[in-house]
Amino acid sequence: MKSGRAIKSNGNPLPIGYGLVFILTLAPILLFFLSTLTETSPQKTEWIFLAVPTGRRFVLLLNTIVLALSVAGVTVLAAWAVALCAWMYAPRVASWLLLGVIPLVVVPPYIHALTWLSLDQLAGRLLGRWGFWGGVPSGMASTIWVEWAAYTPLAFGCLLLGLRAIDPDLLDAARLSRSDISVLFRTVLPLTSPAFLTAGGIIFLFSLLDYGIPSLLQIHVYALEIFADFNATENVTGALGLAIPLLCIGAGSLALLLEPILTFAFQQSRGSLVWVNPPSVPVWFNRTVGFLTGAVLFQAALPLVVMVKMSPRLKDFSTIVAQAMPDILYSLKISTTAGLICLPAAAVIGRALLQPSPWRKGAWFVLLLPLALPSSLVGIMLIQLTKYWPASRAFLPVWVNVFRFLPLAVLLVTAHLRTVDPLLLESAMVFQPSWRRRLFFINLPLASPGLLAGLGCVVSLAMGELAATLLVVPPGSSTLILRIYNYLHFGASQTVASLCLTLSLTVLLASGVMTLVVLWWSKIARSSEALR
Amino acid sequence: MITLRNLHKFYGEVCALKGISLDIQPGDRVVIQGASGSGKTTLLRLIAGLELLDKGEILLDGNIASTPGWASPPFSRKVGMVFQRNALWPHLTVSQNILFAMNGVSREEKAIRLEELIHWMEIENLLRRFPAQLSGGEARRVALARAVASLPRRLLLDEPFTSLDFSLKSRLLDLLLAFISKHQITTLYVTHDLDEAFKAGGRLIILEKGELVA
Repeated sequence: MKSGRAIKSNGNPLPIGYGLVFILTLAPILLFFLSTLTETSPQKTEWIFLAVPTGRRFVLLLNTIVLALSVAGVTVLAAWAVALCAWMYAPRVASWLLLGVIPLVVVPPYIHALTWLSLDQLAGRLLGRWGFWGGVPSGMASTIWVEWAAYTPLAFGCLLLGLRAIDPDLLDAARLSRSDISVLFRTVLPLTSPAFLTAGGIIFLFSLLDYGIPSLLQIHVYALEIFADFNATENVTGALGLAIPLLCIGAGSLALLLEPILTFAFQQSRGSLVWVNPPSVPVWFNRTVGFLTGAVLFQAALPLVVMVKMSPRLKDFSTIVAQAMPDILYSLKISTTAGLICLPAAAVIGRALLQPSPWRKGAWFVLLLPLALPSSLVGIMLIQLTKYWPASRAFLPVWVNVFRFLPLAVLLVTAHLRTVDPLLLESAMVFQPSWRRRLFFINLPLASPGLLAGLGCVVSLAMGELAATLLVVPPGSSTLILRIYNYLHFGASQTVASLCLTLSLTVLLASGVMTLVVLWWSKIARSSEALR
Repeated sequence: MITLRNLHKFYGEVCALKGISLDIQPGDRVVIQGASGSGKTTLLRLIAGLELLDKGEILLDGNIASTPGWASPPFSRKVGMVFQRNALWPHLTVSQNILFAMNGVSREEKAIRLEELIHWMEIENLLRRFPAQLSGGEARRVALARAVASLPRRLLLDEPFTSLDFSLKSRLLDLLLAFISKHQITTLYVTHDLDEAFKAGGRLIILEKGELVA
C-alpha cells in the first residue's frame, strides 16, 4: 500500500538541455550553411575556390596562424613564469592576485591598444625632434605586444588555477626523489598541461579569429578579409567560402582542445600552501622568472597609468561621458539582456551536460563551437538568419552576444555545479516534496556562485564585443566599444582615454561585484560546513 | 642516524608537536602510535623536509637538516616515503612512476633495480598501466615500490596499509619488512593498528597531543 505524498523528481535534464544546445548553437549554424548553399545557383561555384586559399590569401592565412601561435606562445610562457612565482613564493599573495586578475580578464583589449598608441605618441614627441622616430610602429611585433598584454590575465588566471589544483602529495613525493628544478619541469609542468593547453588554445583561437587589434595596428589578418569582403560586396556565400579555412582550423583546434578544456574546467583547487619548504632552484631560473614577472606587472600597470594620465580634468571628463551616455546605456542594455538570457540556459544546459550520456562529448563540442567561429562570420550568419525570422532583427546585437558567450557561461556554471554535493540535493528531495521550494531554497542558492560568475562573464564580455556587433548594430545606434574603436583609428586622445576609463570601470564594477558576491557566498558555505 | 632535538611545530595557535627529542640509530625500526591529530604525520613531514619547524632542530647523520624557518631540500635527505594516499603521478605509467624516483642511477642499474622491485611487489603485469587503471591494492604496491626505488637510507611510512584488507595487508607487510631488513634501512612507521605495530617490531613510541609520552 502506498502512503504519503509522492515526491516529484526534478525530471530528466537531458532532453531539454540537449535541446537548448541544438536550438541556441547548432541550429543557427546548420541553417546558415544550408540556406547559403541552397540559395547559391549551381553555376556560381566561386565560393568553392574561395574556400581553398591560394596565392595572396594563402600567405595571409599563414601569417595569421603565425601571429596567433606567437601570441599564444609568448602569453602562456610569461604567464606561467608569473603564476609559478606567485604559487611557489607567495601563496597568500597569489590568492589575492587571482582575485585581482579575474576581473581584468574581461577588460577589452582595445584599452591595451590605446596604451600602445599613446606610448607611440610619447616616443614620437621625445625622439621625433631629433629624427629618431619614424612614425606609428605598426606591424606584427606591436600586435603581438598588445594582444600579449590583453590576454595575459586570462593565461595567468588559468595557469594559477592549474597549479593550485596539483595534489600536494604528488609534489611532495616528487620532491623526495628529484631536485626542485627537475620537479618543476618533469612533474609540475605535465600536471598543469590541461591549464596550459586551455589557456594557450583559447588565446590562439581568440587571436586567430578576431581582427579588432590587428586592424587598429595596420596588420591585415584573415578574419579582417572576411569582414572587408562582406562589407564591400554583401555576398554571404563569398564570406562563407572565405571563412571555411578559419572554420576548419578553429573546429580542428577545438576538437583537440576539448578534453584538456573539460579537465581544466572540472578540476578542483587543492589550496595554495604546498611549498612550505621553499624551493631551491638555480639562480638563472629565479632571474628569468623574476624578469618575466616584472615585465607582466609593468604591462598590467601601464594601461591604468596611461588612462589616468591622458584623461582630461573632471569637468571635461564628465562632458565626454555625458556625450557618450546613449552608447553606454545601449551597451549596458544589450549586455545585461544577453547575460539574463544566458543564465537560465546555462543552468539547464550545465545540468544536462553533467549527466553521463554517450553524446556528452559531442554536445560539449557543439556547445563550444561558437568559440571556434570567426567573429565576423557570426555577425554575417545571424544577419542571414533574420530572413527567416524578420522580427529577430531588433534582437540581433543581443543574439550575437548570447551566441558567442553562452559556451563560457555554461563552462563556469557547470564547473561550479560539479562541486555541489549531490547528497545535499538528494536530502532536499527527501525532506521537501515541493519542487518549487526545493528549487528556490536549495538548488538555486547552491548554484548561485556559478550562476553569478556566468552572468558577470557574459555581461562583461558583451560590453567589450566589437567584431560581430559592428555588423549587426542597427542604424542610429552604437555601443561604447564601437565609439572607442572609431576614435582609436585617429590615434590616442583625451576622449578615447576617458571612454576607455569609463568602459574599464563599468566592466570592472560588474565583474568585481559578481566576484565579491561569489566570495561572500563561499564564505557562508565554508562556515556552514564548519558547523556541521 | 636521525636526531630530533626539542621539536616544536605550530599551525596558527594549535601546537602540533611539543618538545619532541629522539635519537634513531642507523637501521633502527621505530613504530609511532597515537590518536588522530597527535602529530604523527607532522613529525614524518618534518623529517622529510616537507614542513618547516618553529623550534628545535633535526640532524641527519650529524648534519643539521632543519632549524626554525629553514630546511635543507627534501631531495637531499635520502628519504623514501609512503604517504597515507598513494600519490602516484597520474601522467606516468607504473614503471615510469618507479623509475622517476630513481635518481643518479645509471640506465643499467635502473633496469636491474626495476626488475628486482617488480618481482618483489609482484607487479610485473602492471608496468604499462596508468595509476587510474589500478585497484587500491595494486596502487599501494606501486607506491611501496616507488618509496624504496632509490634505496633510501631512511624510510618514512605514514599508515601505509590503511584501507587494505587483512590478508593483503599482512602479505605486503611481510614483503616490506624483509626488504627493510635486507637493506638495513632506518624506518619510522606510523600506524593505528596494534597488530601491525607488533608485527613491525622495533621500538614503539606513543604521541599524545604533540608530546612524546612513551
